[in-house]
Amino acid sequence: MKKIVETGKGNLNARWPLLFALLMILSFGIHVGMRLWAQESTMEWTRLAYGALAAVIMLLLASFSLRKMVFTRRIGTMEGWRKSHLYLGLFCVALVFMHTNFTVYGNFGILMVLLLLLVILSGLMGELMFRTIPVWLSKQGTDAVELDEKRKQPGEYLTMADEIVEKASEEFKNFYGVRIRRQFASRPIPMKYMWLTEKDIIARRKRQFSLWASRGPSTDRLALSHLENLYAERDKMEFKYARLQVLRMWNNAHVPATAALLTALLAHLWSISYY
Amino acid sequence: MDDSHKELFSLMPVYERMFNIDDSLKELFSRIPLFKGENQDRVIAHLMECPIVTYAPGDYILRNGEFDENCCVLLVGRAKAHLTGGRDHLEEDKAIFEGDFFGEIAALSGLPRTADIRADDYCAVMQIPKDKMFEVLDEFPIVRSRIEDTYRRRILSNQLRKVAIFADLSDGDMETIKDKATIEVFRKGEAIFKQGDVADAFYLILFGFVKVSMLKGRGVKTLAYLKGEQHFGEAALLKNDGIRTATVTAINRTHLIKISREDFIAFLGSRKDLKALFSEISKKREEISQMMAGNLHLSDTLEATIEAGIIHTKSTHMLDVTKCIQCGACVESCAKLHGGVSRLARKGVRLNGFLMAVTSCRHCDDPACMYECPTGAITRDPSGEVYQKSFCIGCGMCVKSCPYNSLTLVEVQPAKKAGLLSKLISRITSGRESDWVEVPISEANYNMQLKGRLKNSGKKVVRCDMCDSYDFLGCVYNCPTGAMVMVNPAEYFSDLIPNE
Repeated sequence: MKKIVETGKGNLNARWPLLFALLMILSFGIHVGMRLWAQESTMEWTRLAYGALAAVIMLLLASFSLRKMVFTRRIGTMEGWRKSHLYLGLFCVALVFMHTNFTVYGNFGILMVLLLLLVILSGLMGELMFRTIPVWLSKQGTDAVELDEKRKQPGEYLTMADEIVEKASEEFKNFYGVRIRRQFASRPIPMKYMWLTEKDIIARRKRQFSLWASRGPSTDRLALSHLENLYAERDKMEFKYARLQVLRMWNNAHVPATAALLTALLAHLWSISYY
Repeated sequence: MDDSHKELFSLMPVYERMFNIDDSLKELFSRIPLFKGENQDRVIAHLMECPIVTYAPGDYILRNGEFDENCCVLLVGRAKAHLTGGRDHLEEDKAIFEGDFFGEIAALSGLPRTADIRADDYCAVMQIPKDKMFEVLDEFPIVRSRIEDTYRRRILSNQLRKVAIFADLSDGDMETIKDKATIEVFRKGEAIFKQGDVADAFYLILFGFVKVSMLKGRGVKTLAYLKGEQHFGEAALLKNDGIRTATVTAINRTHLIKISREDFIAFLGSRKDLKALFSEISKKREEISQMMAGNLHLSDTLEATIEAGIIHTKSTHMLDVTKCIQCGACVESCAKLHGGVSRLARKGVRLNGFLMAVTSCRHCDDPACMYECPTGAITRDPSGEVYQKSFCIGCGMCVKSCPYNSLTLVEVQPAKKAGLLSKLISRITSGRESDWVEVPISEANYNMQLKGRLKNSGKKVVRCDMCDSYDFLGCVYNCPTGAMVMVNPAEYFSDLIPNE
């Protein structure tokens, strides 16, 4: 059949790291060579060239977001774009520092370097998170779409809890209606689960239920234990959802930081041409 | 045929050509040996509507490996069958003369063509579609016996020569096997033999896939799958107790050559070298079986690939979940490329810790959807890709029959009028604007649809067409981590095939 993608035949994964290493060695070699042997004016031109190259690369890197919107044109594989984004981004940092001769002058310079570092760090953080969280979710047998769907129906757990309580005594129903029901009716805030470990969540739940057990009627222990299981299931779902939200939040750091950096870059370009 | 006649022949429409060549249609049919002994008028009445196609010298009439289910009768001209395989991949040409028929193997079995047929001269070929051919077989017993006899003879000649173990046999030995062998067809899931049965035959797979499994401990362990041109069943025949040590089940519709125990033993008696070779293979297989039975992970993965209907398909999407970042680009790109509805869902069968066979059309070797389609709108292209023709009435029979839930019923609606900005964005991002959009149909609507089956409903079934109108696979091309791939499962999982 046509269009079969041959896999496992040759390792292309090493191509970008190799290119990155080569570019680093080459650019750093030129920089050191210039410092050792070239005249000041030649070195100045080299640094300007590095700066110009870094600016071009930054604009190219920003175009990745456009690539992510275009699915129906043959403009390079998304994987290639992502890898180039990652490795050229790292190379760009080296270029910028060689452009500044590893020193930063003035407030604007500090701002630009800080923005650059913010972009790079948020990018690396994103790479790390995207390499770990989805795989962790997959191992748990969950998918992002499925989680979103589930979370759209918070009433599902409440209905199930109500069904459990329906069979219990009147006394338990009253107790449940006052204290526990609102816990099932509310939609937890993802932030609450973001910073907690699974162990913390289990401990917190156990504390809560043992408190209810001590304050509630001594009968209907089975119903309470079923409610606890249901609560544990919801906790698990919320815990996964919170991790997913961390991924989504990452875009809120990387993309605005990039926009700010590009704005600063334009200001920098305008200022050097003005003076 | 002189040159002026040839020119005329190539310019004229099909039926005019027929009546201008030499004789009337009746006379032409009377020259065809296949129909001799039957009532000519009735035969003509049945085959009147069959298309007659003309070919210039050198043209391919049929191509080896292509899916096409017509049986052909050479009415005028001369053709050549080109066969490959056997000893050192020897190639052989066989002449086909006026009145001969060919293509019955694919028509009767639904399998790909087994030889190239090329026109040697200007040819006129009557193409009898599969359903029409079965009508003829039911109606005319003499034709039936001739076609079935030829089918058996040809399929044995063509396929036996491709089997490695028979590669060095002399023509005499080959004839002996052909005389003794019978062809048997097994349905999907049908047991060919079971563990503990008394061995009664040796089998060779013509087409299809079989699963070898063994009852071990409390569960059944899948040991191997075997495909076309591989053989099985000899181990028990060579042993003294003659008891089957494993169960062999057809994974899909499987055609087998069967040689009875007595004939097989007798044949090996005269060929000691072959007996030694079979013993060696049996020994190796025994080792592989023991290894597989002891390796729970491998055995389970193999079983999962078989259960998910992957092994015997032409191509399938595979998702490496350790690379997938769940960004949804695969599904989104599929929807963008195909009028708003994705043919692919990021869910499916987990084969092992890291691979998932994603829900999308498997382009099966024996597509249930194609057989169930009441209008014949579902068909296969020569490469084996299954697709719908435009006259799909959206009855949903195929959706119901697909064992892998790979098909979606959608409603075709006129697209809402887009604003200037939306149009511009759509132009830039997709390169085209669609006047029609596909809307997924809810479960309730789908059931209603099934009730009114054969009415044209303004709905249609969509399936993965491997991005036929594009030169790339959207989901694979747009996956940012390379987690999504399209593979040929038989090659991709070749490590799981026992290598003897």
